[in-house]
Amino acid sequence: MEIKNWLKPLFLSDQEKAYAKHYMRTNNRLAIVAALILVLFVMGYIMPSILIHAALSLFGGAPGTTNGEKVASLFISICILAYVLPMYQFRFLMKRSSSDLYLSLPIERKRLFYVHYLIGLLYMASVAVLEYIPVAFYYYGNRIGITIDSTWHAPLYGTSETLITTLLLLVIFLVLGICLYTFFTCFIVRCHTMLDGILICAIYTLLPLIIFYSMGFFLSNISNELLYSVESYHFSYMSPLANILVALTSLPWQMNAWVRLFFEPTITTDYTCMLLGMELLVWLILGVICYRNASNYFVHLKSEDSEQPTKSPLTYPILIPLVTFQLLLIIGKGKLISFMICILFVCYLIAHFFAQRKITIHVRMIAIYGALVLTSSALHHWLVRTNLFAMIYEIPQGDEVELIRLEIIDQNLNYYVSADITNQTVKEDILQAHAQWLPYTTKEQSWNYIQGHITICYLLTNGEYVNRYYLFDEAGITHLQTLVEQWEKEDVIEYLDDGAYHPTQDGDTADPADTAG
Amino acid sequence: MLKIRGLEKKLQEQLVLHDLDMDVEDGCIYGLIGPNGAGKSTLLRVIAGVYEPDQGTLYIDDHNMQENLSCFSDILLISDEPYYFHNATLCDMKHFFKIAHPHLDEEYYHHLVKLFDLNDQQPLHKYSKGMKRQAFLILGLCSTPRYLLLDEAFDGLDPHMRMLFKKEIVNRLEEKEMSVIISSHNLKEMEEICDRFGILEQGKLITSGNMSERLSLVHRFQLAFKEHVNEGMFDALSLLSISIDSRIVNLVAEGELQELQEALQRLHPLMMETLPVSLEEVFVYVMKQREEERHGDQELVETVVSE
Repeated sequence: MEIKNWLKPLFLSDQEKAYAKHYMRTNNRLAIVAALILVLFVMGYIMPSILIHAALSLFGGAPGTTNGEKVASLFISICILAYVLPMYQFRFLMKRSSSDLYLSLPIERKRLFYVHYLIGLLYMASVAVLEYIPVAFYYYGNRIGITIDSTWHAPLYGTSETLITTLLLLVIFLVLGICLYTFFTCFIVRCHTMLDGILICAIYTLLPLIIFYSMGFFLSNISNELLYSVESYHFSYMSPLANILVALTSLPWQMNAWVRLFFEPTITTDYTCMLLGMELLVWLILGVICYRNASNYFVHLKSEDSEQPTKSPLTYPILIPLVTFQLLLIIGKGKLISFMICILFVCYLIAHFFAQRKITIHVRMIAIYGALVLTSSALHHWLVRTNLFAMIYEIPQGDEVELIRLEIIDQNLNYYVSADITNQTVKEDILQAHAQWLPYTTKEQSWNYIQGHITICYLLTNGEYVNRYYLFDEAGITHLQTLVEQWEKEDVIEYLDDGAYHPTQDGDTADPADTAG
Repeated sequence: MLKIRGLEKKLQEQLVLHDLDMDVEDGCIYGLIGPNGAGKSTLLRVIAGVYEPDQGTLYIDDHNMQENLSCFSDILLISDEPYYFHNATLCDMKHFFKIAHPHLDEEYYHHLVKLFDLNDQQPLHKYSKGMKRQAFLILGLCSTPRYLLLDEAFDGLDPHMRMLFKKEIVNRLEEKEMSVIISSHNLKEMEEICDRFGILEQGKLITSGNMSERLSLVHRFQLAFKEHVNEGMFDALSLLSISIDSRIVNLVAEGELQELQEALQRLHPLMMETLPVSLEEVFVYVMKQREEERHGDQELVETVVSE
């Protein structure tokens, strides 16, 4: 009985049902859009795959190995619907006359929100299921390519039918799609014009990507400043935490990971399963929070705000400073820093003018920008002082190194050395030499005189790569030559100009393709 | 009975309604009169529940409307810019209104559609402005809510249609338990149809009451005197307006007709004529009086400040 009462709000009253039916009947555009997505999906993706497979079978060729990413296209259409449907379902809030009509309806606002939310959700689910049917037939009909028995999840249902695999994926995609739909709904109800709705949702979609890349550039700038090596784009410094954060917030990553998990028998399941489980949980929690938040906001919505500039704190007021801060991190500490800060300030002001739909400068806007500039600068200095929390190192520890790939080019002497080194003694020699050549390097890339350079790549025992690239000026070249000559004398490496095979000290030969990892 | 007490509403940080008290008796046609920007549409939207009041309380039969959301099902607002769904016909909108107001009278709907010669299967976007207005007035009337709120109800209607609608509103009120609140600039029409009225100015209801009672208490007189007269001679009267042209005086005064006539007779005019006063005139006089009072207050404040 208690459960029944708890479930009661999920069901519609007779009046709400009548309203939903009428809404769906009079909003046939929604069905047209859904049908269009479906047709595009079938015509553009499924049909060519089926035709290719049929052609291969007909002409006696082995059927191509299907990859699970065909199912991923399901998720793309779910993502599109999750983005578009909240705008459609709550578009009445963005016009005064329509919000007058809807909000004066004798339906409790919480229920009105629920009905509109539910209708959008049903549309999304219907399209996803309809799209799933050809996918399912495709896999079921062909039973090709995937040895399901060898995947981690086969014991879960004790069958090798691909149909179940795709069905399970459909359910996961739908859950994630619903979370995404709820996430966008939370922002749409806060927007007072359609343009704001489209923009805010687009910015929130791109935000994880913006943060990921700006942080990557920011950390690369710091590492470039701290290291002798040039062009050190060390996105790897962000892992594993940043990678997990991106994975948790980026649905395309999840989509790809889920598909790989289900269709690639060789995938490392422990880490992936844990991460995917975590992100599903994160999105479910986010979905619940967004639903409650959107519903509460809708209840207290001020109809008079429609067609007015969007002012909710979760929209422009937070997004403009956040994106500006990310851009400030990207511009780093280059020579044109002052100019870039000025340009960015102009962009920041334009964004504010657009948000408030009038050209007015408030002291607060300037103060916030000033604070952002100072914060980004302070953060930069702090991370440089702490050597990025001691995460940045020029040369790795000897026992961490599994393989060293060395490439020396002296354009002055037309000299080229390339080697993959696994021998422990040689590795130690190289590590020692690495420390010795650092004072002779330069960061100035010169086009006036010929430079020499060394590219050294350490493959660490944990599977990560550490790439270093050093430039040598005219003075440094002499040292470089001495170094190479010494190595040649010690038979560390041999001079080779074909680059095909690279003898190590032991006399072993290694094909770079084999050792590339 | 619909009661509003101490209503206050801000729109975009601007105080649109304040200290507003209003009573709408059951079965009446209440005319909401006021200059542009007085807050008429805002008041109707607050009553309909579209806007939440910042302060104050609304009651229906002593039930607080904010606490009893079901009260709002007794109210239907037909706004000045009615919204209809994409490609919707009048018939589609009738179905929609029926969801919100299940007592929608189908028979009466068909009667009105026929009376106003509308094609209810034609999409509303193909209707003219006047036809759209007719369509929504039809929906409002046949929905039979307890309180029908009509914002600028007769805008865009031709005189014949206006007359027909006024007749239908009156007939409907006689048949059903309904009250209508109409906001309009057309005071002549309001005078014809409304039995109660309220004048809204700068977000406040400055005067209200029974239309006929109020009009019976305002009178215009045209007087001719033997000699020149001055304004001071009429100080004893509650004047709304006075114009003196040598020996001819035109005045509008508040009070019982007999008392006013007796008071004027005591001034021994050569000729005295009593003329009817329209609601429009009452509105203009009241507004003028308010203006003068405000100026008077301002001058008083300035004098006090300068002293």
